[in-house]
Amino acid sequence: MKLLENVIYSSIIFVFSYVIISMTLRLFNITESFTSHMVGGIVGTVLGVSLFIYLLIYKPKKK
Amino acid sequence: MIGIILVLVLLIYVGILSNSLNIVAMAAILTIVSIKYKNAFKKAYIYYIIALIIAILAMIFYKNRYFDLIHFGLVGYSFFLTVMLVGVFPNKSIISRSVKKNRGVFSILGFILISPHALGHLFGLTGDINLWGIAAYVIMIPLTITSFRFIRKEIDPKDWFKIHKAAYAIYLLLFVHLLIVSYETQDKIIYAVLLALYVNNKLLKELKK
Repeated sequence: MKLLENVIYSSIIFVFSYVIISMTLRLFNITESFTSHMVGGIVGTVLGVSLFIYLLIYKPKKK
Repeated sequence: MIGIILVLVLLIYVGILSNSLNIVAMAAILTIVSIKYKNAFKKAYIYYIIALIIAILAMIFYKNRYFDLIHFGLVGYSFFLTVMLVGVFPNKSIISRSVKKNRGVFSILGFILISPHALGHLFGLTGDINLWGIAAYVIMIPLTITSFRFIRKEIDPKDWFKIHKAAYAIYLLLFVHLLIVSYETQDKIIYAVLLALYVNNKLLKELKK
C-alpha cells in the first residue's frame, strides 16, 4: 500500500474519531468544551497513529 | 572539551541564562558529548529508560523548580535543535559525522523529555495550550515511533525517508511556537536568528547538490 494512502486513511480515522467523540461529549453535556476537544484529540491521535503504523508495517501475504 | 561542558552545565545550573541561551548551551553540550564520546549513546535503551523516569518524575512533581527546564520544554527542544542544526553542516565535518550517528537516539530522547511540557500544558497543569506546539507534538508521535530500530526494520526504507521529511514541518512549527510563546525580546531575536541561519544554510546545502 502506498504511503500517501496510509496517510489519508489515518487522517480520516483521526478526524472522524475526533469529531464523533468531541461532539458526543458536548451533545450530551458530559464535559466542558475544552475537555471534549482534549479527549477527542487524544483518542483521535492514538487511533490515527496506531492505524498509520499498522498500515506501514503490515505486509499482505502473497498467495 | 570537558572544561567547556562543565562551564556550560554550571551556567545552566546557576540559572543566569535566558531560555533561548539555555537551549543553545544544552545543544552545545550534546554536540560536544557526541564528538568526544563517540560510543556514548550505543546502548540507547538505557538513556530511554532514564529519560522516561525523569519525564514521569517531572509530571508528578510539576511544581518543583528543579524540573523547570523540562517543564518549559527546554531540555527536549535542545535535543531537537542539535539534530536540526547538524543538518546544515557539511557531511564530512566531524560535528556532522559524530552527531548524525546519534540522530535517532536524540530525537527519541527529545520526544520523551518534551512530553512533560506538552502534556502539562494539554492537561492545564502548567499553563495554556498553544496550537502550534500541539501540532508539532502530534506530528512528532509517528516520527518517534518509526525511529525505533525494531519498527524501522519493518518499514520500506523509501517510505521511512519520506515520513521523516515531516521533521522539517516539526522544526518550523516549533520555531513558530517559540516565537509566539517567548516573553522576552532577546529570546525572540535568538530564535529568529537560529531560524534564519538554519533556513539559509539548509537551502544553500540542498541547492549545491
